Amino acid sequence: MMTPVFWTIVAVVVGLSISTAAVMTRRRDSNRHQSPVDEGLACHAVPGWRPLVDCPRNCDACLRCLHVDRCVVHRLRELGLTPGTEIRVVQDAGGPMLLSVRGSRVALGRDLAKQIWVEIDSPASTLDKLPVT
Amino acid sequence: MVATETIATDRPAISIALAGNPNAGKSTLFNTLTGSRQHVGNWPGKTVERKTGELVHNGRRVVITDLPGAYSLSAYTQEESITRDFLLAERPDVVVAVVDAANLERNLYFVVQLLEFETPAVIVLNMMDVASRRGLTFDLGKLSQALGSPVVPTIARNEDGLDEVMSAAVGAASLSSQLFALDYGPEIEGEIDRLLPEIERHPAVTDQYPARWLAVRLLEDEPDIASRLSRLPGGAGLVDLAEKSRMQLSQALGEDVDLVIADRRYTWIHQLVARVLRTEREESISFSDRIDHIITSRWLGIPIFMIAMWVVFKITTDVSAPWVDWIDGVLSGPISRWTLVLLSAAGLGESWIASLLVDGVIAGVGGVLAFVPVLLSLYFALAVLEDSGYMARGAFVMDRLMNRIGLHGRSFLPLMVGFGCSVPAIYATRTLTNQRDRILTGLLVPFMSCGARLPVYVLFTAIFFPAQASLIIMGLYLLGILVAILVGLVLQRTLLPATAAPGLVMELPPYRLPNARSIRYQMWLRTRAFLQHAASLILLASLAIWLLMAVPMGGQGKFADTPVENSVFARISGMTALALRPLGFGTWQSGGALISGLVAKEVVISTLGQTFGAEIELAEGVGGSFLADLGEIATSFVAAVGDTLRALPGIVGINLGGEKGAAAPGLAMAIRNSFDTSSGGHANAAGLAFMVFVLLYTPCMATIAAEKHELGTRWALSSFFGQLIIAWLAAFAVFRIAAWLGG
Repeated sequence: MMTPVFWTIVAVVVGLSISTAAVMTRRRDSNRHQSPVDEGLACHAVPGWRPLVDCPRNCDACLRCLHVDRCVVHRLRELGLTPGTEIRVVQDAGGPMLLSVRGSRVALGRDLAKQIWVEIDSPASTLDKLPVT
Repeated sequence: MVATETIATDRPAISIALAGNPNAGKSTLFNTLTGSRQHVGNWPGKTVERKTGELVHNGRRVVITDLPGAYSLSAYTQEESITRDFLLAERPDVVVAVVDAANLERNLYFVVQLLEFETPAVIVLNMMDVASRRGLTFDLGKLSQALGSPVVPTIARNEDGLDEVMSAAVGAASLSSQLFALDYGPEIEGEIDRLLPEIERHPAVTDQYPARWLAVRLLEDEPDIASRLSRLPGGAGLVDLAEKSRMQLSQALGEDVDLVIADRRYTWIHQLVARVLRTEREESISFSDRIDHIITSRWLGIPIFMIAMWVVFKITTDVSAPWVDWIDGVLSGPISRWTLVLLSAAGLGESWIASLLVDGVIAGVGGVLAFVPVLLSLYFALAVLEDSGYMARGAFVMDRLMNRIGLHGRSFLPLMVGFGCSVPAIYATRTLTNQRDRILTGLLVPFMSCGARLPVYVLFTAIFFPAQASLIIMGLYLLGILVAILVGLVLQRTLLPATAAPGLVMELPPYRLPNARSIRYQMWLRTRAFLQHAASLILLASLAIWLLMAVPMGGQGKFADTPVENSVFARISGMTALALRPLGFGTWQSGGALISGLVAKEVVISTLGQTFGAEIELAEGVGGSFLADLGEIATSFVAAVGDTLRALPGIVGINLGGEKGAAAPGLAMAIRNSFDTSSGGHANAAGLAFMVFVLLYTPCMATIAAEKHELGTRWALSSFFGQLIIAWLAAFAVFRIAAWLGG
């Protein structure tokens, strides 16, 4: 008599997880369709520039191009991230990146870090740390 | 000489606004200046805390408003628009701009925008101790000259320089506003000069906005400035003019005007900082960075965060529990007895007044006061986490995981606290900075199964599933989490769509030792705000239930002395039973237990006991003398202190077990038989459905009150009815499936 109840719980839990997974997959799909702003500014065309996300820890770089939403540009600007700003990557643990900007520490989501283009300072000292592409 | 402080009542109070970046020490300055003469509330219609305080300086009354921490004066975030609207609408006499001296350049970006507002300003260079430890020295004279406002160095947490701040602020209040005009370069200045005379032709506009500030804002194409301006006479024309200017400018500059303006501001600031700031030694990798290498690292980050959350959870439950029991004991024991003694002396011993006072008022007050230790301990934990700088790291570490379910990294803490009690958890959503995230998290909190629901599970699993008790309880907790995730995903696609910001952008403050006074203020003021806002609702609900139980139906019994089954309460419960019949527990007893559970989930079991007529033995203390009672209060107080101290080491360890429902066999039998009848022989299925219903249905009145206080009436009502529907559907599904499977 107890076992059916146990299976009920299992069924409800499994059912809910499946529907959760389904909803989430659909969400990810809809995100994929809505591509980031791709007008004009082709940052990656400039030689020597690379996405921030490719900068290793303790790497010093100069911010070059913010390829993100206008609203985010604004948010970054008030935290001191404007083109030409010197930054340093303090932490990169696979999730958001932690930067040192104008004396403060700013965390940036990984998706954003993919859309921000930087030029790495003094290539001689930092180039060996970069992943081979 | 005796210094007598006389308050000049004939002169109006000076209104000072405290503004600055988050983490610049603004709150510390505010707390040390105003002490406990503060009022904490929310900004109208917003979930952002509004704090005002008063003080007397040299005989002048001063009212200080602590504006929310903001990074700029545009209106992209709630904090920014509150700050801007306050400055525009309330026109404070002085703005005190608090600046983190160790982070001058970034902080000045906001200060420059404040200065453009043309309100007299004082610049407070705070945290000078940190700056000097980093080898920074400042040329204050040059800085003050460049900004056109007095600059005062302070160390707010040591109360250094506070008098100077107040003197400078009171002095500045009597000055007329000075025009601070940063040179934006010939092209932009040309357009500003063209716009200025046009703006000045419209007094309705200049009444509300400083002219040059408005010109710059219009060129920046600020959100909602244009629409506000259009509503003023002559405003629409100005908007069109500015639109044309902006077009021409962006063509001439080859870039968006707002970007150029921001760039010019930063360039100007950069040059200023180069002139006034001297760095004695080059900073390599700071202390904060070294801690961050460990605390935010890939492998240690999440475990460290989980330990921190566990400690917070234990503090809000185990450490506060002895105090909750103590308050409960004092109110239900000595206080109730004294009330009865006093009433008998007045000849009202057995009247309905005695019942109202003891069962209604004192019980209701107890229901409110029981949250005080819980909230004090929560606010203590939150203040330590916030002030030390760890809270932001937790959000950083959890961001990726929580993003998967569409929540913010900071949502984790309130949800975690929710397993203890939903009320502090709702208040814990204050750590979220975005209104939408706060509402979303606040609505999900009640699905985390709180401690008060556990006794119900313990009792019901003991009755229906003695063999699989822990498995089923575990399953219920998981079910709550899953439902929360689902509801969260549905809400994000319907009522609370994600704002345009894709991903995290957040400043991590440097690590700091938390300040004892600041923590004390936060604990006390926020708990007081709860008492002011939520207490009345909880008390009313408690009185309403008492009244329903007191009024007899159908001729038998008299007011306040009627058997439960003859009361209005039973009649109403009987009506709810109709709705509960498809769930397998459609009896007036279960309905009544669930209704009283609206006041507090703790009373579900005691109501079941009452309604099934199998009164659970209550510890009925023998009424001793007054002195003996006092002694009892004192000894139980000492015992509570002891229990708290004993609970402290338990914070680190896991303390499972205990909490075994010592259900009276009579009650267990009565519930079993009743469920068997009401479910048509599927008692186990009905028992399971009842537990699912208790897990998911409308949170208690205290939680609703907290939601109303924090998220607004609309969301509190959505939570009330939404959860009722969700619980009914889930319990229905569980009952039908379990009954079909033969439970």
